[in-house]
Amino acid sequence: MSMFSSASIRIAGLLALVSVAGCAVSYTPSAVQYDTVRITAKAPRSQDLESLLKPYSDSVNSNMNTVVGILEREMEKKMPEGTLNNLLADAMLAEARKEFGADIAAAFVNYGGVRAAQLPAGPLTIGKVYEIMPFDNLLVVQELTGKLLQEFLNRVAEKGGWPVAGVQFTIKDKKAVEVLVGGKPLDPSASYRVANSDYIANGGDDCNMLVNIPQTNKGVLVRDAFLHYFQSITAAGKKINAQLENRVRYAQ
Amino acid sequence: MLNRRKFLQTASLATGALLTQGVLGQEREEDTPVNQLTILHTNDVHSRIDPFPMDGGRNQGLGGVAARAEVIRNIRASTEQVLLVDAGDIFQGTPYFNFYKGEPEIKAMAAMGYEAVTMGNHDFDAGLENFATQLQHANFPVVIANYDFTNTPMEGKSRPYHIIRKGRLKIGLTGVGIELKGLVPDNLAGNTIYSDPILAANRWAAHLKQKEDCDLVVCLSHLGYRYKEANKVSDEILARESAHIDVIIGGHTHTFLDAPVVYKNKFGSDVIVNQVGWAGILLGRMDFGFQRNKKKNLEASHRVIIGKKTSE
Repeated sequence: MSMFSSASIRIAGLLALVSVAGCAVSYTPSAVQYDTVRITAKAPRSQDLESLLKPYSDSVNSNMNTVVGILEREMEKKMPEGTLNNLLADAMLAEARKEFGADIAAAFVNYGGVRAAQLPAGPLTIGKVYEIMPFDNLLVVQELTGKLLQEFLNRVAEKGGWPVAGVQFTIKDKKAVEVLVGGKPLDPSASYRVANSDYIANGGDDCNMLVNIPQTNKGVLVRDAFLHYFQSITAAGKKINAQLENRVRYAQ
Repeated sequence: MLNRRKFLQTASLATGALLTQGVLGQEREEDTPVNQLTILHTNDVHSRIDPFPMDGGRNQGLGGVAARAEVIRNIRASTEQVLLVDAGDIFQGTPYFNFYKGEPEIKAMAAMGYEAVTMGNHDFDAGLENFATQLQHANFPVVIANYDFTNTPMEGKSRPYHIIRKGRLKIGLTGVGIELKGLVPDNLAGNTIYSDPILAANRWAAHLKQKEDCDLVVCLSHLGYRYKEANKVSDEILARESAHIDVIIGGHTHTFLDAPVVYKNKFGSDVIVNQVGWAGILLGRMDFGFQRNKKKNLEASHRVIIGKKTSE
């Protein structure tokens, strides 16, 4: 009995000591001085990091110079229709069909998202594809009613004509008229599965009519869709090309 | 050195002014900051291994890990207690990520001595299995309290909190991530279960302050600074609804804050929120001064005096 209580006292004493010690190391932040250090071009660089990263840099740089295909001729970005427009929209549609099924009716690329005015004929490098499409936008699919697709195409018409594949139309009074989807007149009550970048599907470039429409994606970036398309053409032993087909034209 | 002495003087003057309660000289001495912690932080570096290319763009020549590493090394050489953290979106944005899926990013962070990170939505971009694989190159923990990774490749590879000791200071870290739905494709998020970041952050912050007796609780957040939508959870909302968090190091919205922003938490205490843009253009620095607690009274509100660090 007495042993038990003396042990208890010892334990209690220890606990008291521990808690006193605990209090002794308790602090509260009372002041902060902040600074934002700008990492500039002139800043000295760590040699250790440079050598750690050199194999990656060398390889990325040589990869960027990897040729993914040969362009048959110069591709040009132009409104309302250009060869580069059609090439990129074709790539979007082909990859969307491969990922989501053959029922994808149409594909679009926002004009402002294409960051090069032309691609020269000849070898096309991965670096060039990054230049055209530096953004990490996802390829997404949405199911639109014909009525909503018409509304979206009106916006495309109002902006002067974007890259499109799977549809054809005339721009008249800033609206899309004589719209064909898959060669047939647009049916306002039908439903169409269309591909866009998530930027547009999320309402970018004034496309807020698309915001509330559910999207599906498979984690494929628009740029990767372009690359896959070019690689598949090259794998088939062909050159990369696109024609002007009167997909989008101004009314006379 | 001169600079640090000046900082301590300024901080102690400020604290002294706050605590003029007719106390004895001896006690006043105890109230002066007895310790210091320099937090260095980045967010949304987005695979920016090299500086921005010299292409006439707005950011040309800025950033790059080799230059950042040198800045960090110099600060560590002249400062005793440094904590280096990142608030997520380490991945995606340059061809490095497309080719190497994050390996050089994580290796560089390990070499720079990062001590904790949280996860951003883009860190899912090459799949969770890839993120888990790249962590083999990390020597720092992934701290995230509101993603449940059970039955995913990340199971057992993150933790809800982490404790780091710096001298006499005990620093508690927790982390929170953004709602995945609509942001991260379902096939990339896999079985990850997102839960309320405010509940999670408050739960672990309370644990760190009350059970672990941490002197400073830091929340790494990839929620975003603030939004137009009033009820979309953000660092601003987290700060106001928090109880035991002292600092929120944010990301996601790529916000270049001119200075850390001070909010009042539920108990009226100061919470510091900071975020330094993106791409490693800036390295955030916050030098904290501390005062010794006379007795444990954590519920009492406290203030933090904030000021711009005078140039070196």
